Amino acid sequence: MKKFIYLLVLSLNFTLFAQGQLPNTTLKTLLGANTTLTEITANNDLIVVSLWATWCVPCKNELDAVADVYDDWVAETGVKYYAVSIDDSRTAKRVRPMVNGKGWEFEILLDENSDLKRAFGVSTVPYTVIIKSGEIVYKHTGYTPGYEDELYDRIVALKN
Amino acid sequence: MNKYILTAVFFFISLANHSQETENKSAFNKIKDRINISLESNSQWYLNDSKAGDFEEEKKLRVNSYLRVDYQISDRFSSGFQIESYIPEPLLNYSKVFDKEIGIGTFYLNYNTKKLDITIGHYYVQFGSGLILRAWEDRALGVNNAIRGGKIVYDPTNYLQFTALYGKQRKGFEVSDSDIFGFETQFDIADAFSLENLNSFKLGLNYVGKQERYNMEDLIGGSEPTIEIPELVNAFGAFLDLEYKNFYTNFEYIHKGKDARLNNVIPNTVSFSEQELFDGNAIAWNVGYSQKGFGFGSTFRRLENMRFFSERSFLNLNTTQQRN
Repeated sequence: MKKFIYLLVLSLNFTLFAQGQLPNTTLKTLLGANTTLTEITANNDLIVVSLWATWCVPCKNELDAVADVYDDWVAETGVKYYAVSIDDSRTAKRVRPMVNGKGWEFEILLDENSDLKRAFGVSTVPYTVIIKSGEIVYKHTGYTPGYEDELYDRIVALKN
Repeated sequence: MNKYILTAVFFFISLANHSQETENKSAFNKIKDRINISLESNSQWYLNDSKAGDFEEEKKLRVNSYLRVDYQISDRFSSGFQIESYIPEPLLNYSKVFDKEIGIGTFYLNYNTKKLDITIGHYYVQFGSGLILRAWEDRALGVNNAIRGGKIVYDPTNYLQFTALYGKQRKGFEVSDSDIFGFETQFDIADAFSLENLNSFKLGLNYVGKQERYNMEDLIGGSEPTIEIPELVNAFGAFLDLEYKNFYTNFEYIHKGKDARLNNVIPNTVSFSEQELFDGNAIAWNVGYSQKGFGFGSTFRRLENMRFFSERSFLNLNTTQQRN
């Protein structure tokens, strides 16, 4: 039996979540206006909210992948995608130049003190939820290439 | 003991009110619609390593767990609490103040309408970019410096906002032996005067004060101060946000009043670095340009004597002495 050189650490993480109510924490738009999920869902029946950060590589990969197909998504389902950045003061100022540089079409919101992240009980980003008629109907943590197709299947299924 | 009773009272009163309504839905379903429950548990099992050596701490299995319950009592009222468990031991390098504890970490009662938001209990807040005051939670880093007290946010119009707060900062499952006062006003100039050519033009002014009586017993080792340690330390800040076409800039300046500067480089010893009071300041400036396909941003930040603790003498996080 060979000896192992590195320190072995077994790590266990789990989260359980039951959500009945949409959080109404304040979110800022890139123009500095305030809004809440309650306001957004009052005008949009089917939305996707994705928490991301400028320092999170899988998040940026996910948003790039969605941006590529976003036009088709909107045309076929009318879904609205909101990418909420949980960057705090160290990196929040990078959001605008990064978003413009990437040319993402979906709406970007800022959650600078992690109020929405805390209300959702998020432990790691990327974190994606689908909200239909003001209720959270789907949640997902993490991103692997190709996941955006599975997300789209769910959106189409919920469209009706 | 008191805070357990208080939390239970807040929570069960709200449940009792709700179950008195006469509707077709069962009480359980009504509560299910209004409650959010979240359980997060992170555990690690540390093993000995032949090359790096034995794991030196006593307990090898360490677990951090958080149970959070939020309840929407009515359209305007909500309340909740968070129970935290660090049994048998918290994850490595977390604050020693949490050793072998389970308890109620935070609790709150909130009243929220379009113009007014009042919170009693623990709350999180950020003034400006957080240079002068920021209370937030980051479980991965072991940070939760929520303030327990009261906070009022008032939006008389959509371009004006006032925030006033008071409280004591969280310290493990207790609170600090000091009082924090805060006030902020945000004024959206572009909105107020309907300046069409500016994307954003905002001004913010804030104040944070900390009142902490200095105890001679807090000094361990070192020499007694010959200066008078101020009981109330004030900090004032202002920030400006400006966005014009593709340019944006943001400037923030904080000034902190005179305070003693603690040395605290020797473990378990609280001492002063010089027999003098120091005032502090902080500057943060961001500027950038972005358009479709190209973005550029830069940040400049400078801090001087900006250590602003709710308890000066609690700096020694590895102290083995129990503090009351």
